[in-house]
Amino acid sequence: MKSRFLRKTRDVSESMYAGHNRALIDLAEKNGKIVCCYADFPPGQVGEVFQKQFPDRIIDVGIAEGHLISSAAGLADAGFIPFTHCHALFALGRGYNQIRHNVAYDHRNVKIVLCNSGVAWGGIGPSHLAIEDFAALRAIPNLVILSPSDAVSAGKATLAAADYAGPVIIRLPAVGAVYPTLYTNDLKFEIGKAICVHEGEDVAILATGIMVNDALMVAETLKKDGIRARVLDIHTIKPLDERAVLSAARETGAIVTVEDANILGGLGGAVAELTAEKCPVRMKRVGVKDVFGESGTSEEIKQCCELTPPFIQEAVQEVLKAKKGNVASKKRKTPRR
Amino acid sequence: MEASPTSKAFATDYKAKYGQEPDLYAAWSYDAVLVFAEGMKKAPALKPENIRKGILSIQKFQGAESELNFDQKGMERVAMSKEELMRDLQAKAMKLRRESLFVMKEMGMGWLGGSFSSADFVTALFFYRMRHDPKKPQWSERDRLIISKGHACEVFYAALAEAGYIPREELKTYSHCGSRLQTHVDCRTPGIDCSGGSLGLGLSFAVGAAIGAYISPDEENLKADVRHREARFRVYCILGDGECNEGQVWEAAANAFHYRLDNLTAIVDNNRFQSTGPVEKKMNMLSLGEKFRAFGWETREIDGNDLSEVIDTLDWALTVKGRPQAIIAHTIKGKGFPSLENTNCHFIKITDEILKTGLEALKG
Repeated sequence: MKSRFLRKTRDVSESMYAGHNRALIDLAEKNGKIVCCYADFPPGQVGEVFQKQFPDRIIDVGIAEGHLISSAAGLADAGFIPFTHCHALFALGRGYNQIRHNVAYDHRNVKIVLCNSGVAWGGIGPSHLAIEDFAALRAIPNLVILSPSDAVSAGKATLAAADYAGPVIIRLPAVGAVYPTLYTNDLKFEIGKAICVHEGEDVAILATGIMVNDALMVAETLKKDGIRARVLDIHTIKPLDERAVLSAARETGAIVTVEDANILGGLGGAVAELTAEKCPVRMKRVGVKDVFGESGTSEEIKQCCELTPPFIQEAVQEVLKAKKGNVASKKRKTPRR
Repeated sequence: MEASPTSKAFATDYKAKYGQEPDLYAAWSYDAVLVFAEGMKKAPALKPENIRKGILSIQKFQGAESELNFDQKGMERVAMSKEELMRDLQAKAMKLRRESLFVMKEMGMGWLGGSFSSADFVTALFFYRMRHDPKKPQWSERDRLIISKGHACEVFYAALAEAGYIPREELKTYSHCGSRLQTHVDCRTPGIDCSGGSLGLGLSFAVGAAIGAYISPDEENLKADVRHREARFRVYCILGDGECNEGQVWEAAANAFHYRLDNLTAIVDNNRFQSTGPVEKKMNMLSLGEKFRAFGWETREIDGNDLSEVIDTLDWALTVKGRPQAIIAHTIKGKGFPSLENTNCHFIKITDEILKTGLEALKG
């Protein structure tokens, strides 16, 4: 059933980072345990507010992402709830062992914010464009991985992370980029519970992060052609909402996954793993096809990495065709004379 | 009464005011007020809990009656003479080496070199310096011990058993499936603050904990700048010399100085051998002392197998303000096992012969 927290229009756009920062400030005003840590990364509004009000609760470790993660584990041991911030790819790359060993293995109450993740933010070039984060982090036990889709859900994800007793990853896109606000401010965000943003029984589009808005646009276009697409905002990559995914598989028989990440091992991988075992369906994964990103504008990169609505729509047509083919072959039980 | 300058001054003033010599009760009452005043001086805010904590942290306070030392239970520890202390600690260090041999035998192999080289300063930390309570391994204000060189775990397990964190019988479970005693130090063991095994991470963890010690998570006034208070606890971090090859050690070193973490003491077990050979031949890091000094740490180089020097240096570390302290403990790999000393006994098979020879060497 479609969420009642959806805005009627998508006419307002905001940076997800702004939603996250507002939540951090809100938390810090009530809870002395909140500490924000950065690896020479711009803290935005948090910097201005914290320097004035809680100067001891904002720490910059310099360009040292491995140290960022391990020292956050130490802060957690001292009784705090640290939120770390740095480029997604460097938290992953230079901090992977630290995430696994200091945070996940010892089950520390650390919240790791992966900033500037995905390819679709342009400018900075392939060295900084993370496509591997979902795949690499899913394989670490004890981790919760959140991937919000707008400023409101980014804020709610931050609050939910603070409430959750254990390691949480929050994946955010480009700091400066703005995306349409999908939800109302009273959104009920539950870790591990996907949100239905468009109802339908013909096909299910399971999207995450910035791609949820694109998936919604595609669903609205398909409606005009008489195709009813269910769109789910999978804001929790791990633990996956198995109930929602399997319902989508059973009830629609055709799934398209959409993510600004490698199609290997991320959302697409997670959904394929589950459905292959429990409810095999026709599936198509839309995402970065195992290539590195590029410098360019956001629009250019999304186009060259095949992450735009036309590519999602093409994937939908493909699975629908395959689904029809399946049905047709099932009907033909007796051989043709 | 001891005739310290303070006692003499007290006796003189008392006689002048009351016309008679003070007795023990007078001295105790006088010291009680002085101790309370000292607790108030140490407290960041004049609240009962802060003053209490201030009193419990009093060490080597010269009272009218005697030198006063408090521990976390609020009991006054009677100061031992240095000689008594040395005898006690030396016996303990021998015992830790013996016990760690039994631990190693459970797996049939062990990090003998590093366990034995560090046994002296491990003894000093557990049984002299650290503020901790084996009955409350999660006590929030305990001194933290980060065993960054998490492989030479056998001596630490022996120390945990000796201190009472785990029963001695549990040492037999070491390395067996399901045991709380894993083959690198692990948080599932009471008394271990940070899981080890991945070299180079521990000093960063120690920095985070040390920063956290300077802020209170229960701070009532959330808007206060609370950095300028006494640290709630100290943090000790043990590193290997080979471990200092890892770049992250230096990320942590820079941060420790930048954040003026005078409640952080790093001890490098400088036993000159790493896993596959002598440190100098594998990756020559030149002088680790100079490196820490260059990063802004107050640094001392000591004989890490001389307990007296270790004690004095740990005492010195308490006096340093505004900078973290690095103790480069020059130790002998395998110290206490003569035929293995100064050889690459980093990780060796523990045969019945080795066990027998080791126990012989460590008798009494």
